[in-house]
Amino acid sequence: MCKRMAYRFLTVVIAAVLPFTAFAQTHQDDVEMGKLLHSIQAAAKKLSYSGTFVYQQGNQIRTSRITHAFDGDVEVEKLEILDGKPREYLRRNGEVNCYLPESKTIQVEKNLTQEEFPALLSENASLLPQSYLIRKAQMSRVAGAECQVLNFQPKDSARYGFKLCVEKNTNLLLGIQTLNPRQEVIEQIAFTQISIGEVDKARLKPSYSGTSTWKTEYLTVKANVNSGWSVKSLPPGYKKTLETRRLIPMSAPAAGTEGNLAKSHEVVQMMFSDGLSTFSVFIEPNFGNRTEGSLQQGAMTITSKRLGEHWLTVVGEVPSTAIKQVVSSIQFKK
Amino acid sequence: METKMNNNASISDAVDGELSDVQLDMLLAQMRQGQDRHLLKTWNEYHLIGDVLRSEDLDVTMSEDFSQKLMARLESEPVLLVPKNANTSARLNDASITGKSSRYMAMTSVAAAVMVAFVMAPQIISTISQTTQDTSTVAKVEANESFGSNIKLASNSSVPSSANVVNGQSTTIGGAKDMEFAPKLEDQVEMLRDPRLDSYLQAHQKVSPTFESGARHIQKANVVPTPAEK
Repeated sequence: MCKRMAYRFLTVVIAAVLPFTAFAQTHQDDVEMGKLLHSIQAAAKKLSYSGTFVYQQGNQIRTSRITHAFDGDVEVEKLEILDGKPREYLRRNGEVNCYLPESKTIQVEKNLTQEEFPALLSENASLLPQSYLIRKAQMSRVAGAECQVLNFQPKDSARYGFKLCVEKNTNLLLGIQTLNPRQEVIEQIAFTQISIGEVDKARLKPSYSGTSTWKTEYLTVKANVNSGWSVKSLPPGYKKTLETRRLIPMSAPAAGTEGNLAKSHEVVQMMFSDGLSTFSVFIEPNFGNRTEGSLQQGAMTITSKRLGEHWLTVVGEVPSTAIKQVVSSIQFKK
Repeated sequence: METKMNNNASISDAVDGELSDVQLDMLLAQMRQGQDRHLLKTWNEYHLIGDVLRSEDLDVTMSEDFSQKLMARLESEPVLLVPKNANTSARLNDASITGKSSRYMAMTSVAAAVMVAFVMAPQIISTISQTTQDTSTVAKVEANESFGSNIKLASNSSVPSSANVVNGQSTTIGGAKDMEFAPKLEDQVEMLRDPRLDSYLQAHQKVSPTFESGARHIQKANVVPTPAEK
């Protein structure tokens, strides 16, 4: 009898205390997680590193080589696309020069806030816990380096899940997998070779000689515009990170165009991010015969739709339901 | 009587799209004022005659309040919040000079839309069966136990710079193995052949694999029905 009373008392005590400890725990976890997310974001920008990474999307892969240096003020980065038609990007803070050796063209973009691997986490990284349940998991290894696995479970269907692996000492993102609701990997990027620390400055120059005679194309018509276009029912958690007037070049490697520079055309580009998942909205006058439709490759969905006398294209690594919601709620309001 | 004859003639011209803008405006203003109910009746009759001439199936008398109901529904339609595109509206004005040809164009474009839908249907079916195959490969790639255990491509020192290296290791990459041997789906949905798509992809994300060589690698394509098909 006495024993039973004691048990009952104990249960009551535990039941009363548990929620408080749990709360204290989660709050502390939140603060710690916020710091970790911030340092993952900072590491990709403020460290110097070089390496090779592979991007697998659906049944396609692409290999790229990255060299990144930060001298306390200026961020310089070279990204070489190693598959398909040769192409390399040189970035100095927010300005990107793309070198296309086949057409001897340099494409210049300005005021970019665009996040690319391994700097995938955007300025909105602090908002990530609103959209994902983030949990530390086991340790793992990527490209010979030990790394901490972080699971990002989406809180709604407007984004995919993610599994990140960040380097144990520096918090540099070494790999990321995109998971569909069935927990299958539908897309992944990971370093296959990485060295963190000093970087050979000579490798931060264009690989091609005689680029001074190449022709230059300015892709940014006007950065930071207010075009008057908006997405009326934006999926929760997403914020606009960019709105610009730019050219869509036709010199990109594509079927049928043998590296020739066809006519570029001007579009409004808006970019939205929840801190990790991003999508772009392109709006332009509707000319020529184009077919509405959408297609998917890995986590990437691209949808085109006509709206009055305009042509809309939405591209992003987000579920097609979210893309559909975006494309059908784009409107103009001045 | 003579004015009535004139009116009938101008209604006939209006139905055929042969009135100038000014004449059409005048006629419509007259009809709107409703002084002459005969005008509206004639307008409807002429259209019915035209319809029956085209097909006897179109010999349908509309209910009394058809126009009112239609107007009410038009009123309740959402407003398209889109600015006018200066260039296309200029082109439209050019076309409206020859009223008949523009009507003809409108009809052919509807026919074209129907044809696109027809042509696309079998391809969509073939891509769906393709998708089920592909998802099974994706499932095989699945890695839950530890991060990146399936990225066997990792070669710590060298960079796979030639296609041969990639092919040599392709058996271990699972989903990517048919990169070079992807079934040729040359007759894909038209949109996918648009070389502009890769440019949008690059504008969004530079390291993303492209939809290179058109439609060859597309896993899944679905067509958003256009209003004409609905």
